Amino acid sequence: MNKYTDHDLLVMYKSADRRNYVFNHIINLYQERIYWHIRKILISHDDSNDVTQNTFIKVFENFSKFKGQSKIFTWIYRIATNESLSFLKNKRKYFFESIDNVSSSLINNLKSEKYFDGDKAEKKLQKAILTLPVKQRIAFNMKYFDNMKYEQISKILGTSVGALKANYYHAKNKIQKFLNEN
Amino acid sequence: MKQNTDIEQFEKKQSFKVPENYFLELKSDIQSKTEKLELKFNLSHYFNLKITVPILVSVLILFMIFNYIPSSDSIDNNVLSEEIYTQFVEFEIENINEEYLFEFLPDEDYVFSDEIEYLIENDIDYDLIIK
Repeated sequence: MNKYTDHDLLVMYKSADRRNYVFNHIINLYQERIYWHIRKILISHDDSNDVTQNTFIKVFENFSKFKGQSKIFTWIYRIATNESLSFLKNKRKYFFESIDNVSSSLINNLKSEKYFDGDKAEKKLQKAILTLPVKQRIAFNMKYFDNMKYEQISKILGTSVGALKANYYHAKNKIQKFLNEN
Repeated sequence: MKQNTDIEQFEKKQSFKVPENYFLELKSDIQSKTEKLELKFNLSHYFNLKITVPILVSVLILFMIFNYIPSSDSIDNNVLSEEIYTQFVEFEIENINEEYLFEFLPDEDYVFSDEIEYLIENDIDYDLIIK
């Protein structure tokens, strides 16, 4: 349980002897949620593990610059999203493809992923989600699986609430179409 | 016949899984990486420019001083090399073949004074006149 507010953590972080305590507290609080957020973007456990670690290292390196203008959770989520998108971009650059052409390779990842225990229907749903453009997919996952509010998603992704609502509507239609046709 | 699927009817459960004790390991992996980073940061903070630049400059000055002050050995070596050079030049002057020198003189007709021309024409001993 979080016994400290964001403000408490920021105040504590200012004293050098409590920095590690604050950082460990942040890892405990958010590592699972951040990992699952990244995992839904990257599918592969190994890739998600690397990106989660990089995310927390970025948090560690930049926490002193964090002014508390947003919630710590929102800030870390944004770093995690950016790190995941950069990871996909770099991976695609290697194969000379655009970031939105990742779906086929991610579907392959899903097929070979040993840490996936969903049934046939769940696999089909994941495949359908993977056909979405990457940013639409991220927004869809946050709304559909994590039950996040549009306002919260909007702060993380830097997109307007209206655009997110439209995005979610279109994503849902595309997925349902895929499920009905396949 | 296929039935239309509504995704809201799906049970939203986590289909992905992680290795056993993964999150404990993840935490310790992150901590060990940040500890290394902290150590690096502390070292770089300790050896900041204000300290390292003066130290490097002093070391460089000392290095230059020690390399450019001639030692007694090097003085001896200089004296010796000068002696050898002088001996070599003297030897060359004494033994040089004049023909080699002529090669470097301009190849032109020498014009002598009228007196000398007269002497040459009349086969008068030039040495006698000089004396």
